[in-house]
Amino acid sequence: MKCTHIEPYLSPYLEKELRPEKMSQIENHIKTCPDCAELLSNIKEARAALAGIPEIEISRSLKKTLYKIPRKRFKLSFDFLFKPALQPILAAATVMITVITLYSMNPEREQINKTINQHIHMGYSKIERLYARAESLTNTLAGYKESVLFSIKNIDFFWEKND
Amino acid sequence: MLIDMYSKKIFNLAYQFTGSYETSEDLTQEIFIKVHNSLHKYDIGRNFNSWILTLSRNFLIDHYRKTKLETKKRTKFDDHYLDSEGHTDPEKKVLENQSKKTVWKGLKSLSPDVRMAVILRDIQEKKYEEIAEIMSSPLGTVKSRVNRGRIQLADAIKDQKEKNNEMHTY
Repeated sequence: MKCTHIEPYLSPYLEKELRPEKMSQIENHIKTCPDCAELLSNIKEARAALAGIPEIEISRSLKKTLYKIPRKRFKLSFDFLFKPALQPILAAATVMITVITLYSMNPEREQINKTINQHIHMGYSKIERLYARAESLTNTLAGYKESVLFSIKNIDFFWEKND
Repeated sequence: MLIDMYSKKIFNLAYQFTGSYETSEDLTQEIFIKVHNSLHKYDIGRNFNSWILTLSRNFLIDHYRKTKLETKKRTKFDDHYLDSEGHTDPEKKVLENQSKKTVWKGLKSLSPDVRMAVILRDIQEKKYEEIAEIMSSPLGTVKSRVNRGRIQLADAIKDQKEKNNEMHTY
């Protein structure tokens, strides 16, 4: 068994988490390999040293500061503005704000209003004309309807002889 | 009550992770502010100890990534850790303290996740299952991180021993 294959098993070996056959395999390798034996010994030393690091007490001043922390600290946060989902909305809002600003700051605002009104009225009269044409078409169709119904009613399906 | 129960644990975790006493005091405060603000998110079915440690672990690793703490020096081991109980033999005690200093310094060279796994397992002596929950990682990943960290620290001890031998030779 190569030393590199042994390394991942060193901790489980120390903690006796391996199956008996694997344990004896590692043990046999360590007996014959001085490098792995040294590594294992140093791991043991490192573990012992880490276990010997004591928990230290916190300072009085820190404890005092911690007690002063309010239950809930409300803070104004604008983080939500940077969410990717909001980007299209923000872009649209920016365009709207730019258009409104350009319009309200424009010295020829009256002229713009006039043109807008003109276009709105033109559009409105177009719609009226379209509506009137649609109405006349409906009336024409209604006229045809009478004659179509009359024709259907008088179709001679079975070529019956009327005379 | 929350402060009495957890301030020491959180401070020690921060100190063992960052190696800086002053930074750990600041981080403990920030973690408690976060705990206070996140209490409403706590799932009652979950172990509170694991929840608070997960929050602390996430905060410490985020802070590490933002500030690149590895560039800062760890406080010397002697500064805040007085000789703990151990060997009565002075020579062995010196060697024991030497290993403690080496691993304390060596923790700096471990990647944040490996370092956190080693701290939770070997300093705080937690079970692997609890560490996996705190670190939100699979059990196998945690075990492999701990093993990797121990090997790195063992290498640091080996280097230190070689240096000591060289010094004795001259």
